[in-house]
Amino acid sequence: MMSSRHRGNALSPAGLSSRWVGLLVLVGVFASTPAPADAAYAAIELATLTEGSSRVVRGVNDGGEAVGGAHIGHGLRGFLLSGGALLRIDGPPGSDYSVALGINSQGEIVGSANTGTRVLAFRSVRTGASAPLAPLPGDTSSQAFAVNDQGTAAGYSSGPGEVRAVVWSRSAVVQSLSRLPGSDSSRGLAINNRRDVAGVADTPTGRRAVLWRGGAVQDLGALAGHAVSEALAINDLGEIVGSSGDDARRQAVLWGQRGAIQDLGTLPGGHSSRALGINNRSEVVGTSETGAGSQAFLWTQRSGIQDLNDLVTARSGFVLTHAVAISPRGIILAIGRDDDAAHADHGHDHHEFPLRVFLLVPQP
Amino acid sequence: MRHRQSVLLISAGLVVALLCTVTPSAAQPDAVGQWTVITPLPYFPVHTHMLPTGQVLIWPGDGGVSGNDPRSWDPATQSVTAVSKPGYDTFCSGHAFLADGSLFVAGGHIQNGVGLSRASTYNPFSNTWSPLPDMNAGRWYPTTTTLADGDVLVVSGEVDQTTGVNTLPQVFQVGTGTWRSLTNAQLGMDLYPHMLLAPNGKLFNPGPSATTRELDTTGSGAWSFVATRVGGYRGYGSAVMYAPGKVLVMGGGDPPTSSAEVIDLNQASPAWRAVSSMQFARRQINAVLLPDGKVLVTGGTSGPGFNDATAPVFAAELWDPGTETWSLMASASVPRLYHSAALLLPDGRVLSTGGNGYAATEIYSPPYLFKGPRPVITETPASTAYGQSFFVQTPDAASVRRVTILRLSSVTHAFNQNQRINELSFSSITGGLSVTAPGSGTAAPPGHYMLFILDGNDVPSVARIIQLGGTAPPPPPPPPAPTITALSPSSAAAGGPSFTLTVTGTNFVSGSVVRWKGEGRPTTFVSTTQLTAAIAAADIASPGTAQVTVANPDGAVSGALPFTITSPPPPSSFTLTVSKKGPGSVASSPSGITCGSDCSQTYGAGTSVILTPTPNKNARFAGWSGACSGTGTCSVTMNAAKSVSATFAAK
Repeated sequence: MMSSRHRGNALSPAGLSSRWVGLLVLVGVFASTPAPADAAYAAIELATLTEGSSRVVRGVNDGGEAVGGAHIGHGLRGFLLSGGALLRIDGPPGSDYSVALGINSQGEIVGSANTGTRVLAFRSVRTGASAPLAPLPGDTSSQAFAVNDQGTAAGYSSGPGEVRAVVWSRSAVVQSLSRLPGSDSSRGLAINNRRDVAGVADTPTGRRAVLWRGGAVQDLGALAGHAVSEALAINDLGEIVGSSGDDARRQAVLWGQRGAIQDLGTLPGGHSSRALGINNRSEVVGTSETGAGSQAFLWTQRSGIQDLNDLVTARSGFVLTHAVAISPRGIILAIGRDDDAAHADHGHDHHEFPLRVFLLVPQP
Repeated sequence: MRHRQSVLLISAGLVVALLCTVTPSAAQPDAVGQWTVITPLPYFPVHTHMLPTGQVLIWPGDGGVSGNDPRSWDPATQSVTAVSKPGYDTFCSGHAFLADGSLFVAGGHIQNGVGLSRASTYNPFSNTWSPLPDMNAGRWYPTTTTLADGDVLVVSGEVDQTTGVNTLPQVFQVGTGTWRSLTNAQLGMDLYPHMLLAPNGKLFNPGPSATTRELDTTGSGAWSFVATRVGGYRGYGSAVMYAPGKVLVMGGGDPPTSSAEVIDLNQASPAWRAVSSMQFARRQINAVLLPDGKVLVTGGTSGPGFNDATAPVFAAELWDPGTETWSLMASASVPRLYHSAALLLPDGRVLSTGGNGYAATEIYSPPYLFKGPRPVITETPASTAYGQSFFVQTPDAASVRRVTILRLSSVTHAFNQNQRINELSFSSITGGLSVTAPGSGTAAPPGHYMLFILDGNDVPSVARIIQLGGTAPPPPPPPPAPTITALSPSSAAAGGPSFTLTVTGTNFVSGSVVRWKGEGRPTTFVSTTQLTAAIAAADIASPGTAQVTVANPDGAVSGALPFTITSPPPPSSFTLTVSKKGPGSVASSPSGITCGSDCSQTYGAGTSVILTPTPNKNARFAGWSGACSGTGTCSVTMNAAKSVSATFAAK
C-alpha cells in the first residue's frame, strides 16, 4: 500500500485509486533545519509506501526515475516513479502480482509478474504496457532483475530442471548463462553496458557471488573465513559490489576490475553491512547495521564508508536506512522511515511502518 | 514520545471498545461464552504455538525485542518458563509441527523486510533447538505447511526490500534433512499467504489474493488455478479448513470487510460462494477451529489502513458450518490487533494473546462449556496409525455422539499455519469407544492432535493429545471382554458348606476376578478359559440365585450366569430314641432298639416302627409317654425324629 500523499496532476493511469497510491513530491521542499557543513545531497521524497505487505525499491537512472513494487489495491504491483508521477505496472491482465526491478537510462523497465499459475519476467516502458520475457524452452517461469542501456536484461529462467541465470536481448531472445561447476541454481541480478552479468550461484557449500563475462562464469569468492557471498550490482568498469558472509554477519564488499575482493567495512558501531549499488564513478551505496539500526551508507575510495544521513542537506524527520541504487550521475535511491521510529536498538521497534522513498541528488 | 503515543492509542482503543462492545440479547455464557482476563504474559508474543506437551510456546519480536526469547506458558498454572533459545531472531518466521511433535521454524528477522534463510526445529520434549540447512534465500513472513507425508512446504517470505518476495517454494524433506526446490512452481505470492492441505494432497492457497490456486508439491512442483474468490483481496483476514476440503475465509482487506466466503474442494469444479457476513468488518483477526466444528473469530480492527488502533472489535463471532451463519459472542476487554493470536487449548478454551503493546492475556470459554457436564476421557493410546481403530476409554461412552481431532495450533499474523479438524467414526464398546483414525496423511498430516469426545449437546471433553501416523509402534488393540459359558457346580443347597466354583468361558486373564452378586471372590487363574473361585458357606446360606460374572483388570466385565442356591432336601431318615425307666426293656420292630442296652436307632423316613415293652419279673409296664401313650405296643411313623419314654414299675 502507498500513502495518499501525492501531487494531484501526476497520478498514474486509470484504475489507480488515489486512496491507495500516493506520491509525496518534495522537490524544492526542504526542512528548515540548517545544513551540515559537509552536506552533499539534497533529499527529494518520492513516495511513502505504507506498511503491511511486500515493498520493493530498486533501480534508479540519471533521470531520477525509480522502480519497485508495493501493495496497490489488490496485491503487490510494480511501479515507476518518474517526473513526480507514479505509473502502475500491472503485468498481464488478471495478474495478482507484479514488481518492477530494473530500469535503464532510457526508462526501459524489467521485472516480473504472475501470469495465471507462474511468474514471468517482463519488459515495460513508461506507458505501463508490458511484454513477457519468456523462460528457456521447457521452463515455466522467469524473473528479470536488471536491464542495461542496450536493452539487455538479466535474470533467471526456472523449470523442472533448475534455476538458471539468463539474459534476454532487446528483442526478447533468451539465452542461458554458463553454469558454475557444481551449481544447480543461478541468478543474474545485475548487468552493465558491457553485458557483464553479476549474480549468484548456489553450490553445495553455499551461495557464491559470480560474474558472467564473455560466455564464461567466474566464482568471485568471498572474504577469508566466509563460505558465501553475493554479487548485487556491477558498473561499466566491471567493478562489482555485494556482500560476503551469511545471515549472521555480512560485510559489504567490492570486487575490483581484476576480481580482487575488498572489505568495505561498516559504519561506526556497526556489525554488518551490505553493498547494493555502484556507479561508474566507483561510488558504492548500501546499508550498514549499527547500534541505532540500519543506516544508509555511501562508500568512495577517497572517503571510505560514510553515513548518508550525515550527507543530506536539511534532513529532518526521517532516517535513511538503505541506499539501494546509484545512477551513473550519482543520484542515489534510498529508503528510510520516520525519525521517531528509527531509534530501535534491535532494528524492528514498531517494525511495520511506512517506508519513505527518497532521491538523494548530489549538490554542486 | 513513542511511548506516549502508544498510551494515547491504547486509551483511544479502550474508549472505542466501549462503543463497539455489543452485548447480545441472550447474554448468558451458555449462549455467548465468557471472557476472562488472566495473568499477563511477560511480553506481547507474536508467535504462539500449542505444544504436544500441553504447554504453549510463545516468542516476541516487535517492540524492540528479539524473537530469540521463547517462553513456555502453562495453561494450568499460568506460569511462564524460559526455554532454550534458537540462537537467532525467529521473529517473522513461519512455523508448523512435524510428525514427531517438533516445531519446524523457517525464516526470520534480520531487519524489517529482510528475511533469514535459516531454518530450525524445536523439540518440546527435550527442549532443544536443532539447526537445519539454509533455504534458497531469506524469508520474512513465509508460510509453512506440513504435507501429507510429513515433509514441510515453505512458500513466500520477503528476501529483502530490493528483491522482494522469495518466489521459490521449497519442501523440507524430513527423512533426508534436505531441501527440495520446486523450480517448476515459481510464483509471486503475498506475505504470509494462507496455505491449506487439500484432500487431493495439494496445497490450496485461498488468500489473501482473490486468485486462488493449488500447488502440487511432487517433483519440481506445479501450480494450477482453482477459482477466483468473490470477496476480493483479504489482507490480514484469515482462512480455515473447517472440514476436509471445505474452506472458509473471512474479513481482511482495506478498508476491512465483514464478508465471508466458502469453497468445497471436494467438488469437481470448486467455486467460491459468499455466505453470511459477520456483524463486524474486521482485519488483523484470528480464526480458531473449535472441537464442535464451529469457527470462532476474535479481535481485529474495523478501521481502514494497516492497523487502525482506534477501531478495535471486541466482540467474538461464531460461525456454524451447518447453517453457514454467524452468531455474536461475548466481547473481550483487550484490543487484539496486529500481532495478536488466538488458539484452542486442550481444555476447550481459547487463549487470546498479544497485539502490539498488549501483554494482557485473556481466555475465552465458548458456550459449550456452560451446557452441562462434560464427557470424560480416562485413557487413550499415545499414538495411532492411519486407518487404525483405537480404544478411547470413557465412562460416558453411551452419551458420546461425536469424536473430533484438531491439529495443534501454530499462529502468527492472523493465520494459523497448523490447525485443521477431522471428525472420526467410532462405535461404543465395553468401557469406552472404538475410534477409527483418519485414513491417510492427506486427510490429516502426521503429527499431534487434540482428541475430543462430544455429547449430544456438542459439549466436548477435555482433549487428550495423541500422535497420528507417527513412527511409534501401533498401540495394542483393546483387550476383548471376558465371557462365561458354564459354572460348576451351577447350584448348591442353601446352608451347604463352602466350595470351589469353576468358571468356564473365554478371554480370562491373570487378574480376572470372579464376582458373586457383583462382589469379587478369591479367584485363581487357571487358563484363558477357566477360573476357579472360593465360595464361602455364607454365600449360600439362603436359597435364591447369585449372578456370577468375571471382571478383567481393564474393567471389562462379562455377562452374568446364574448360580442357584436351592432349599435343603428333606432328611431321608430319622432317629427314634427310647428312654426307659424302671425294670423292663423295649424292643423294636423293625429291629434296632433293644433298650436297656441300645436305646436309639435311625430308620428310613416313613418307616413304621413298633416298640414293644417287656417288663422284668415282678414288674409291670406302666405306660408310654412322648410319641406314644397307653400301655400297649407303641407304633410310630418315622416322619421326624421322635422320642418315646417307657416306664416300668414293680408289681
